[in-house]
Amino acid sequence: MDDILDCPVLLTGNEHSRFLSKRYGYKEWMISRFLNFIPCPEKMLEYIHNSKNLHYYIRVNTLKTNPQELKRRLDEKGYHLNETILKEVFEIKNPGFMGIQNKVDGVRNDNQNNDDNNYNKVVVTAQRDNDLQSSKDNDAGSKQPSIGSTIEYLKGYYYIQDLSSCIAVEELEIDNGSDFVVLDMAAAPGGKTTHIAQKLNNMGAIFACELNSNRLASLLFNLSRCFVQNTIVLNIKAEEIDKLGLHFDRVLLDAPCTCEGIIMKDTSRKKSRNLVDLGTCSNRQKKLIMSGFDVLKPNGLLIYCTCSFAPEENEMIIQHLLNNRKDAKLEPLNYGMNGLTRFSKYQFDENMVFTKRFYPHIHSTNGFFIAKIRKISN
Amino acid sequence: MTFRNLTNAEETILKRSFNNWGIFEIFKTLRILIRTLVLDAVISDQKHTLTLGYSNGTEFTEPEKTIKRTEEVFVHSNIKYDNTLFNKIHPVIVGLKIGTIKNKKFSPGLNFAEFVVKHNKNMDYPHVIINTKAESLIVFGRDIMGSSILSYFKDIKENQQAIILNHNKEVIGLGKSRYSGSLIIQPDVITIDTTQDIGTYYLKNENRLSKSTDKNKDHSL
Repeated sequence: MDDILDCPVLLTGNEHSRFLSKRYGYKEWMISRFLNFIPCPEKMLEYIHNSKNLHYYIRVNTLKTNPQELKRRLDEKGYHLNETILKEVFEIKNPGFMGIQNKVDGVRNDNQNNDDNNYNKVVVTAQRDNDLQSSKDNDAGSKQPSIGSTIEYLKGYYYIQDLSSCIAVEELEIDNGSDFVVLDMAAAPGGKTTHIAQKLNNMGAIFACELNSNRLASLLFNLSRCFVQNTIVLNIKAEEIDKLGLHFDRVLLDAPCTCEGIIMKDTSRKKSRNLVDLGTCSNRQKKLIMSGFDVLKPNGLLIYCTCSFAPEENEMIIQHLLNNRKDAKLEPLNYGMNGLTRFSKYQFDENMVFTKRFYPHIHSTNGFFIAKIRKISN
Repeated sequence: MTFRNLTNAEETILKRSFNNWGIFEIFKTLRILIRTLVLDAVISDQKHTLTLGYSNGTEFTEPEKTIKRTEEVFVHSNIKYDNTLFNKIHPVIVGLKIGTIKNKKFSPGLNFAEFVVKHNKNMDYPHVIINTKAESLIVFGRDIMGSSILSYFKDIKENQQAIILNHNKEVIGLGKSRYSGSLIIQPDVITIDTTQDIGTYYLKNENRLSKSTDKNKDHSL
């Protein structure tokens, strides 16, 4: 059955897709696909095209402070924070100079997992200049300093992270201070790892895998900044985690993907990816999800997520797991739009509606996909 | 590169430091691990500088006394796993680095200072509290002028390590005093040299580590 899920799927373009690709600067194969499975695709393209629609979120690091206190402090500094569906996440309406800069420059990372976290890395490397700038600005009493150069940021009181990413961790069902052993299969730069750590209240243990040595730096930086003490960082292929003989209560697989969902933050991705990349990512995701599921304890939970719209990286990966592991069961999620039950000629499991999709023009987040899978206990 | 438990000598060194900073009581609540970092080695009378090289037990054949080591000190809240597992899986990092031991002395890092501030409520440790204007400069490495100091530890000594706090009494750096007692607040003179700060600390590591391509070399924060 699995051979029918071979990917990627190339959909035929038409006059309309050619017009849209030219107008918004995408490769046409992307547009012709978007037209087939994204709700109101023209609206999304227009929404993404306008950088004023970019939303910024921060997650309060409850290992170091609490939401009310942080909100008070940032309010005093002139930031406008709005509450979101998650109590520890705020939308920040005026992120300052850095936000604008980031949008203009775009952020590149090749075949990496999510996201917003790149923002944290850029913020750090650009911090000194911005701080000096904002210091001058403060003296002049004029511009808003960057949200990535505040004392509160350096102190690790918050993490700049998209709401959709925070929802993925929220769905791991980790009670405060529980003693779970958690696996984060693609951890750098540490947004979700630090979020899990605060959910565990620095108890339990997190095994954080990151294969790319260069990306380890940002992971270690963020773990230290956020005062995380319960993490064991491994520089290994997450696909080979089963060789260590460990088993986990929770597994988070924020899979390396083509990152179609963050085109708004990195416009180079309109043209930098091709169908081969999509196929490469999809094949690796299949290996990763199988490995992650196999090291789950009975009754354990796996959250699979990507910042991609492509069904080959989302529903088809979940279907691959369901086809090959009979003890895998999809569970419903609390937020987002239902996942696809069919794509092109393919029909997916009826429970695929339990998976959720996030769209910039509908949810004001990155494009994102989340699936929650329980390993049924015998 | 492995993580191991404390030796008796290291435990004594750390207990003394925890005591000096007024947080002796939390020592026994922390799980502390050590990783050995070899900075310099003298091999066959020829000095080689090995930046961030790690001893793997086979690399150096000279007697122990010719190798200069720094022991990195980590705290880890996990109690489920022991060194047997760590030796098997070779983690890059276990927990949070709080400082280093070199030449039988513990050098605290910023994360250690966080423990001190959190647990020593009486503030009877060497510290200075600086004003808001100086704060934004000091977090990126600027030294401290006496006129920037709002208050200080009365018994501070010359050449003593001190925690630098902002007006909210939050750690923003570590420094070394140039003067003792009330001389620390003399105006128009640098009275504290900033040795670590929350801005440069992260920038330096971020930049250094991101340049490294050798997986054995990019582990240190």
